[in-house]
Formats: sequence, C-alpha cells, structure tokens
Amino acid sequence: MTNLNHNKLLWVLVTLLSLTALSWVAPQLVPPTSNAMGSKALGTLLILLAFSKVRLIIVHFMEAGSAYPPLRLAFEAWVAIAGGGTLLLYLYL
Amino acid sequence: MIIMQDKRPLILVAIVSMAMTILLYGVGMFLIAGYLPPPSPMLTEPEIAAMYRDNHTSIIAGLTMAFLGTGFMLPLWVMASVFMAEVEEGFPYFSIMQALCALATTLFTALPNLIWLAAAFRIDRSDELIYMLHDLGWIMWATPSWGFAFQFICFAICGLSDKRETPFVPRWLCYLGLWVAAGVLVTPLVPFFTDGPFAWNGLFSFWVAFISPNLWSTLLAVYVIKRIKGGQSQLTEGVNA
Amino acid sequence: MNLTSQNPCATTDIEATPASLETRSSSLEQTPVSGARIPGELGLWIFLLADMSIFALYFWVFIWNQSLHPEQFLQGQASLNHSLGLLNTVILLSSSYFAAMAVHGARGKNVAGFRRNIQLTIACGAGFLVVKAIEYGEKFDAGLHLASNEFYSYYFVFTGIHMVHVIIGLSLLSYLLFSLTTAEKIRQQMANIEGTVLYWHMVDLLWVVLFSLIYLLQ
Repeated sequence: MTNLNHNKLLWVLVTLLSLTALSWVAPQLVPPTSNAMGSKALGTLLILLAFSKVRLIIVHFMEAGSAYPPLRLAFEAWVAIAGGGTLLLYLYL
Repeated sequence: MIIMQDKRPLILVAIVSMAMTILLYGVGMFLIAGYLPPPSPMLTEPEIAAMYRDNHTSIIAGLTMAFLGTGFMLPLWVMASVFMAEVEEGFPYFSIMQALCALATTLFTALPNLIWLAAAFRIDRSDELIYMLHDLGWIMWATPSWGFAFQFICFAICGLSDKRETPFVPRWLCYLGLWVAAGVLVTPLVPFFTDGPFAWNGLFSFWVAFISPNLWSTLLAVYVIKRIKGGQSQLTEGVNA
Repeated sequence: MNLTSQNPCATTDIEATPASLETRSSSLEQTPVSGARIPGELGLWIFLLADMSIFALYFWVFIWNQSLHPEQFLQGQASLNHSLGLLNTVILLSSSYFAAMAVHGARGKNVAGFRRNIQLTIACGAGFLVVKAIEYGEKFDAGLHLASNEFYSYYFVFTGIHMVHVIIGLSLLSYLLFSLTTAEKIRQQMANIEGTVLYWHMVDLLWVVLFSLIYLLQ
C-alpha cells in the first residue's frame, strides 16, 4: 500500500513534467499559420496544458479529489473559471 | 487572560460607532466630496486644479464629514482587542498591537483628508501646489497598509489560538482575515505606477484592497449578530478558560 | 489498538485529528463526511481559494494587457530567460512531489521519511529563489525594472508577489522541519503539516500558470 501511494505520486510528477516538456516543445509542433484562428492554436494548447497541470496538482497532490465533495467542487470550479476565463480572454481579445 | 464581564453595552457602542463611520466616511467621501472611487493619477495639473476650484464647497464639506467619521472606527477595533485579550495568556501582546495598528489605520485614513482640505482651502493657490497636495494626500491614503494588515494578522493569530468550545470568531474567518491582509499588502506598489491595476485607483490597490476588508467585516458582523441573537453567554459573562 | 497503524497509506481521520479539533464547534469547522475528509482544515482551503482567485485576476489582467500591447509583450517575453523559467517550473513541480511524500511519510509515522522529504522540499524552494535572483539580476543589469514598461511591471509584480508566497512557504516548512522531530510531535501537528503542504502546492500551481502565460504564451 505504501508503494501504491508512492507510485501514484511519482506518476503524477512524471505526467506533470511531461506536460511541461510538451509545453516547451509545442512551438515546434504547432507551425505558425497566417490566419487569425490558427495563430491562436498554440496559445490555446499552452493554456489548456497549464490548467491541466493545475488540475492534476489540485486533485492528486492536494488530495481534493478524495476530499469533502463541496471542497472538490469549489476547486474544480476555480480551474474552470480561471482557465476558461483566461482562454476566452486570450481568444477574443 | 483578561475577562470582561458584560460586554453587550460596549458591543452596542462599537456597532453604532462603526455605523457612524460608514455613514459619515462613506457619504462624505463617495457622495459629497466625490473622492471615492479615487480619481486617476493620470489626470493633469489643470484638470485637478479645476476639480478643486469647481467643487470647492462640496469637497470641503465631504472631506470634513469623512474626517469626523474616521474617529468612530476606533471603538469597534478596540472592542476586537477586548475579545482577543481573553484568549491571550499573560500580557495581551496581540490585543495591544491590534489596537495600536488600528490607531495607525485611522490616522492614515484621516490625515489625507486634512491635506486635501489644505489643497481646497485657497482657490487662488497655484495649480502646481494644489496638484502636489493632491498627490501627497493620495499617496498617504493609498500606500500605507501595514497597520491594517497587522490588525488582521494579530486578530487571526488570536482567533486561531482560541482553543475554547466556541471560539470568539470561527477559524475560517481568521484564515480569510489573513487573505485580506495579504491582499492589502500590495499597496506599497502605489508610488511606482500612475496607471494600471496597482495605481491608487487600480483594480488591486484600490478595488480588491477596499472590497475584501468590507466583505470580511460583513461576514464578521453577520456572525456576531447570529451569536448575539443566539444568546451566547460569552458576550455577557466572560468565559471560563 | 490503532487500526490505522497497519495501513500507513490510508488517510487517517483518527490520526489526523489533533487535540485542537476536539475543542472546536461542530458546524462549519472540520466536518468529514462519510469517507471524505478535509486535509488540513476547512479554513485553510478557504484561504487558498481566495488567494487563488486573486491570482486568477492577475492572469486575466495579464492577458488583457497583452492584447493591448502585443509588440511590447512579445519583445519583453523574448528578453526573458526561458531556460531559467523552465528550470524553476521543474524545481517547483518536484518540490510538490517531495512535499506530498512528506505528508505520506508523516501519516505513516515515518519520521525520517517525513523529515527527508521536507528537507528536499525546502532545498527545491531555496533553489527556486536562487534562480529567481539570477533572473532578476540579469534584468536589473540590463536596466530593466518594475516601471520600465507594462510588460516588465507585470513580470516583476506578479512573479515578485509569487516569490513572496514562496518565501512564506519556506518559512512554514522550516518551522515544521525544526520543530517536528518525533513521531508524537508529528502526530499532534498533522493538520499543520497537511496545511503547510497544501499551501506549498498552491504556490506550485500558481507558478505553473504564471510560467505558461508570461514566458510561453504569445
């Protein structure tokens, strides 16, 4: 059981580091395009990756995933509002 | 531990005083003088001088009324120290610290009004001097926040140390108080910016720093009123440790 | 007999209820609901949510201003040391792992494991500050500072406020390290351990977003 928990935490770290690496190489993966929609594709990816990492930290490291449900709801709502708001502002401004 | 017997009369005085503050300071600054929300630091010298000249009487009336209102802040804040002192063992350090910081907050809120009154006092004063007094008042009003923040920190420390059956303030409100303290501690950035969210009229230096303590105070008031209605003995007899 | 001692990885309600909890009033405080619990205490989560909400405003303000001054922000971003930013991200993510492992150790009454992981967390945090100092130093040497232009004001203010959060977190972690030396003390302070580590996770997740927005997003 000890190892199970340890492994889970390690996997979360590995995932976080992988998503970070993905953010780092993303500019090479998403070629720049001339149209307005395309040029925001990279930014959209970066914002989604960032908030995915945030959610992983909240749910697994902070253990909100197994916590008192209203607490989890409040923090998931924060991720949705903060992340969604950031994305919307980025796309529409 | 200092225990005060029947606290209800003083709580009443404190609540009435705070109502006086809200009324006098709120009406004075927001409605009569028009100083709040703060004017932009980007306004030019002629614009500010014109503001003082055109609204001479209402500015003086509003600022004076608001100045009177600031004194009424103290009874409530000293009342907070009474509750805090019950929790503290030995010398009530944090209670006294809170009360002194309350005085600092009151002074830094009140003194700018006197500076602005000086700016408005003579309408034939040069624009440059009016502008400088205007800036001086705003820097003095908006920048200092350590007193206010320390009040909340001291209050939170006492509240979180309260190990009684029913603490005088719920723990979550203490944590929220720490958040308010953190929020107002960005105001030292005011002198750096004439524009943006950290300027004296900005989103963080003014709006968040103004709204968050008021929100917190409202939550505290609701809690206290519920306790009073519930007839809690702590308010009338002091508490057995 | 304490059942939980055979199951060190279970989140133990019994062990995680220090003496202070017994004296609190029931309603709004620690209210574990069948199976679900609150690591640390409720009040702390409220603080974290409130602080994170302010940072959400910071994120939105940054994006808003980026749209107002796109060239300036592109230029400013290009002048940042991206590698150091990435390094700091890796450092903080790792520190969160160590902090989570420290809580795991504390729950399993593994004093050595707890202390080692707290030390690693602090080491990472200190490393973050060193990297930050180097980064800021590079900017100051180039004559760039908080009032240089909008981009730099947001860069310095937002990462600066975050840095203050890191310093506070390191102070709390150091307190844990210096005062919790035995299994009994760890048991008594379980809520504080969880709370401090929760705060540290918040510091980490805020940097994750700041890094993406300030260093990477165009």
